Amino acid sequence: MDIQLGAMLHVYKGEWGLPTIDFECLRALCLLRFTRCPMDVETNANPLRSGAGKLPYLQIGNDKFVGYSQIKRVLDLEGYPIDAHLNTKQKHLSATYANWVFTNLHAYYHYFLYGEPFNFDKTTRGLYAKRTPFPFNFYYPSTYQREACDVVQVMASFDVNDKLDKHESDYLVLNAKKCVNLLSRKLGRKVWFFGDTYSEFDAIVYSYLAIIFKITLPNNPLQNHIKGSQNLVNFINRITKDIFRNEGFSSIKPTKTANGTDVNVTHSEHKFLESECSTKIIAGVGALLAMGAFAAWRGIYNQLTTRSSTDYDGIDYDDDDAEEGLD
Amino acid sequence: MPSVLLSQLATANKLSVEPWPEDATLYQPYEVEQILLPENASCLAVKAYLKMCNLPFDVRTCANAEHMSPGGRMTKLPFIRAGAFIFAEFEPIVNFVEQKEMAIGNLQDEDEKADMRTYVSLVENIFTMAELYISFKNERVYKEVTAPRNGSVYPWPMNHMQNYGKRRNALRLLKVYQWNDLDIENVIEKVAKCCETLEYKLKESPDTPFFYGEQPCELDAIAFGHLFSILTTTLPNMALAQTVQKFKHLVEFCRFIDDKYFQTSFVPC
Repeated sequence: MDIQLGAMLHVYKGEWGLPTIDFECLRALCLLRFTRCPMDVETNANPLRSGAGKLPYLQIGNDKFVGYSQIKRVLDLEGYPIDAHLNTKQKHLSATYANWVFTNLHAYYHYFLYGEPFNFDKTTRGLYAKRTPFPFNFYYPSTYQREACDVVQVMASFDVNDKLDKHESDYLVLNAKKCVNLLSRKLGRKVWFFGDTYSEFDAIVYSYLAIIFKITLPNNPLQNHIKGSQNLVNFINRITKDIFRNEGFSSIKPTKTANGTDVNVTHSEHKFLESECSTKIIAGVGALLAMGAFAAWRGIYNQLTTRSSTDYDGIDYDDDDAEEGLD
Repeated sequence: MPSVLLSQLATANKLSVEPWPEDATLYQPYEVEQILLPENASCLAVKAYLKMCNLPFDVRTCANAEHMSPGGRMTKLPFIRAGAFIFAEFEPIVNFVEQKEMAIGNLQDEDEKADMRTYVSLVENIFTMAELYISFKNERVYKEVTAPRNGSVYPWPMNHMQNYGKRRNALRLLKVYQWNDLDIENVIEKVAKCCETLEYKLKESPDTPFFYGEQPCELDAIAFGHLFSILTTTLPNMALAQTVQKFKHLVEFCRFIDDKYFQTSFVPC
């Protein structure tokens, strides 16, 4: 199989200037862009088509590779391994630290994005629903919630479905803060964690922290903590600006300068905006039709016409009869 | 109710001034009939750590150790009762011992310590997941070893219920750590990679038997616990043991730790 021909990575559309809103998607995108793999990215994707009900997936011809680990294996085989430029010690350390960051931030990410009921209802569900076509938008966001339930149960040993005051999230926050402190110290003033070359560790740290840092959740205690570590903020902003220059997307910018000649909007973003507009029109027409059909079914049109004519006739004849009688 | 995990951290801080209690007891399932591979590995790791720290402790085996445990992230075993406090699993126990300043491996600088902690977390995750995978996802191992052993302490209808619950929990754990859709080759690849990392680390200091210099540390304890359990447990599918056996330095390391802490200086309390 040739990766250059028609390979396409399907991810969720971004927000807040990030290329995507989902951690797994962002991780896969990092693999692609760090290694400069020439592959197209499709942001108008349907999770149903992946076969596993989740994004990201990579399609090459008829073959589908779902999830980060499968995509990584394909890229490794095709000659775009992410840790290629590291020495042996750094390669081992990269895998070790990547695993450690996963242990410390995975539960935090899942709890505060999908598990915390207010956050999920106010922000996250909407984010995912907007990026999933109708009618799947009613179903797929809640699959993330169910997955988060398992993650929190295993890694933080409490149940998301319990009452809110039984959620023992302090431990998650404490662990995540400790992890961020160590990451900040380890990054120091370097460009990447291992000096001048990128690694899988950079990809995973960026993916977690960028989303946690940029997302606008009602309750997100780690966001301010990350703000306190200036080098991590710079790290996030630099990668967002330099590497995802063309893919960063924010829904607020285009509506502010909506004059039709927006140069920043790429083709797929245009399609996204247009499809949103056409959805509104279709919904309006559909609502009108439905109301009209309901009215016809209840026989309102018949009633209106028949009643008015009989009323009119009745009064006239009555009056006429009365007048005739008097005469 | 405050979080169990958080309160473990808090009590570990409070207790730092008091000495190591005389009656510290380690609880674990029956070693001969009941214990499963992942639990055996974590119990052995904790025992090795306490022996390395030269702390006295009593081992108590009971059938319902898992259900007595206050909870943890992986196997929930073993747990230790020290004075009025209970800590479960390797990391909380290590944190507790460290607060008492009786711990080993205090000599390293901060960066080395951070590196070492990440190695510990890698070893714990990869090996525990691989052990759970082989115990619960491999049909033959599950039917011939895991289910009979786990159910052995319960009477007839209970053993099936316990097995069902235990397997469901194990599969959920594998799913959360994203191991559920791997096949056995991927698992072996991951274990081999982790062994490679360990062997590389071990070779960095070739003239000392431990991972970090002359003194043992947490990494030695947890690596020994998992590697030794994998090497010495007989299962219908020996894929894991065969993978570990390819790394001669690690096998040598296990033999050394076993001789030093478990054979010669073993004094039953």
